[in-house]
Amino acid sequence: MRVVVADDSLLVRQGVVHILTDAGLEVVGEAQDADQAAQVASSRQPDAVVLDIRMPPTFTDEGIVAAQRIRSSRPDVCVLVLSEYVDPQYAMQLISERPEGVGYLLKERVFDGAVLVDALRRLEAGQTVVDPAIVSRLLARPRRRDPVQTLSQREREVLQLVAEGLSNRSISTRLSVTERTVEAHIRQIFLKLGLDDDPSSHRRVLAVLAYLRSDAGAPGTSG
Amino acid sequence: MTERRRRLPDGSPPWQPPLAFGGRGSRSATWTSTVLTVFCVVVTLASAAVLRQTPAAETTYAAGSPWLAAVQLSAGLLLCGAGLLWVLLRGPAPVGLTLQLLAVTWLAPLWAGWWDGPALVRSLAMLVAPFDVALLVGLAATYPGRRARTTAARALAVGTYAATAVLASGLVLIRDPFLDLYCWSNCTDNVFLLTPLPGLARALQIAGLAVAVLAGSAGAVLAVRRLQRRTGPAREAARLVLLPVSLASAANAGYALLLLLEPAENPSRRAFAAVFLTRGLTLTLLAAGGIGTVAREQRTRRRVRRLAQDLAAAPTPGTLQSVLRGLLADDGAEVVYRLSGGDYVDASGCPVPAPTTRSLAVTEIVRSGRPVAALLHDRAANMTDEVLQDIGSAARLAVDNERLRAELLAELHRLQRSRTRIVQVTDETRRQLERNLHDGAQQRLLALAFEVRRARTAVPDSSAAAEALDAAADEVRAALAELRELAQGIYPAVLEQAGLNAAVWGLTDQAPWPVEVRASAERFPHAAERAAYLVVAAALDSTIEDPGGVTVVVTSELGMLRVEVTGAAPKDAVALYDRIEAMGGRVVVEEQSVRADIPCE
Repeated sequence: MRVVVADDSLLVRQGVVHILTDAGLEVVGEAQDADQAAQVASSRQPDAVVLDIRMPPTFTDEGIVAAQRIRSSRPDVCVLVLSEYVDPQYAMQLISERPEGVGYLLKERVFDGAVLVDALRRLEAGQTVVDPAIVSRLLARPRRRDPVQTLSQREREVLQLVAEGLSNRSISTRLSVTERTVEAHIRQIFLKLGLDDDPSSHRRVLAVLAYLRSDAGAPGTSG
Repeated sequence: MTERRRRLPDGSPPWQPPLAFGGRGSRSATWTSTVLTVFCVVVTLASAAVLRQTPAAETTYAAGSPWLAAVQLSAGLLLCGAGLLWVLLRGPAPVGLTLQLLAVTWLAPLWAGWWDGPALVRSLAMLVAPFDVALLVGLAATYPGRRARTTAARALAVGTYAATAVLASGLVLIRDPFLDLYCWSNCTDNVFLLTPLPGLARALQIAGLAVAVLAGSAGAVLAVRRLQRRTGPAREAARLVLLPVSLASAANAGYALLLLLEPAENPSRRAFAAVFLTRGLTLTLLAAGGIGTVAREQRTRRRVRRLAQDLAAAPTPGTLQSVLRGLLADDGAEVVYRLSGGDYVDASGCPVPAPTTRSLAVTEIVRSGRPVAALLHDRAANMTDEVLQDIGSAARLAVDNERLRAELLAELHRLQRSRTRIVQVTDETRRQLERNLHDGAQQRLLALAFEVRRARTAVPDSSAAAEALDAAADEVRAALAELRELAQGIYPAVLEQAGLNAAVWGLTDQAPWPVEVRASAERFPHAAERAAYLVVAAALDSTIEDPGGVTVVVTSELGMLRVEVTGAAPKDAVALYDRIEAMGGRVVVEEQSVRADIPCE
């Protein structure tokens, strides 16, 4: 797997490159800012680009903007944004266009052994990656009338993994159940939450996140 | 006329009702004027008697025709009255006394021709009569002030007075009326006579007439020239007096010329009667002009008095300016106030450029020798120095009040700007701090995590070292998470990038109890968003127990961002007041709610 790494911090960049190389991935290019990342992404023909969210010049969300640029010019390239923002806003903004092959991870997880590599492999397989911490936080959000509370423990676990972007197959592996069971859980969850989206589509990640992000049970009040 | 920068001294006495001695006019001028008035009235009354006594032999114009008598007496009385009015209402400017002296010289021939009258009276009348030319020239040179503006005008006036004085006094010393070939009004009495020298007396008479012709013509021209040099209302105001002065001066020159050509004066001759009539009418015109000028100014003064009342009745800021605009009929007139630092502000305390005379006339208002305010008005505005003085007196209190207020407001503006800057600097500092945390500590922790991970791969899984390294990795991860929260607290980067809506959601995510949020996704200026964010953060941070229903509503209307939290209120709102009031906004904190209106500029 050919990967481009973009981060303005040399320390982090080198660390990421090292981990990827150790895991047997091929790092074909490095970049220090968003523009350079887009250039390298088009010239080196990578399979995936790892982007820091904060890069020059404004150090806010250049990574997201660069990810969207790369995705629109080369839709087959996977993009993984490393962020320090736990706010779901960024993740949702990132995956709103086309969720498959796009990921959003908290930066502190980068050196967490296999997490980075695992995320890239999932992206390559066409899945979506949303950091578990973000999903946990959304699920933990206190609500007045909370349909999420009506879910069973197992259903909540499935919902968490769906929101993290895992495919049914991955969920079944993770939970040690059959894929059919997972499908049944998901249908049940969507029914209980009143979600209209196709439970089998790639966009279900976004639907679930948006549902959790909204004031659940009071639809139409979200921004 | 080039406008110059004028000053309103605060030493000008307050306006006083007319007819109060010691008021505007000086005491001596008032006394002199009163004496002259009495004299004029006595002369006029006596003239009636004199005229009745005068036999058919004509020694005065008035004796020959009731019309000419009426002209002479009315002109004299009017001049005298105008002079009195002037002295009483306009003060010690020499115009009033000059008008009264003109009445005396005009009436003098009546007394000179007093048949069987006292010799001293007739002799004195002969002495003063020739001074009319000098009086008119003096008026032409100085009106409306005290001194002539140009050297030439001053020389003309002084020269005429001097020449007249020398010639007239010389004449009375050597002229024996009895020996005067051309004597007509008084051929008997001269109490001043030292030695009769008929030849020299005649020469002096001719010289006097020549002076009168030259000075009278020059005075007529001078008055017109000075009128022409004025513009606008100033010219209009001066026209009332300077034009009759010019005409009267010309008439006197004509009279003297006629006497040079026809030495034998004879009221019954048509040329002499016509010249006399002209002189009488021009002097009547002059008297009317003087009265008109005083009346005009009284009208303006009444308006200024109303100004004082208006200002006293409605001391709202900017009143002075609007009242002065009405008074001057100049909608562009402005009052600006000088701060102690030398800067100028308007009535609301907003800085304005220092007044210059380039396009507008500037009248400074002075207190204790220091300019405190300036009136900027159109050059053509009806502003004589006297009116300005009255305005200065009437508006003194208002000027002081408004200036104090303007100074206070300017101070407030400065304070406001300073508060805004403090908030801006604080925000910028926090933002920089957040970035430094990101660029420094966080990167180092990440590097540390990376090193720990590499070390961990180098040791076998179940060793004690592996355990320690795993623990270290957990610590680093926890430190990174804490650092992230800390940075977020110092400066919520999400606010700037994703907006108020997202940031408020982030806040409610972390609240321990449910919060209902109704916020539009609209973006606002960073400062406004940050202020609103802090309101919500402070309110949500207020309690750990579930308050049972907290709502955050963010709306915007008419350039104001309104954020309202109900169900929770900040424990300590001082920082919120500081910040939002610095932006010109408003915070209302109640027991279970907080509302902030934040301007979006």
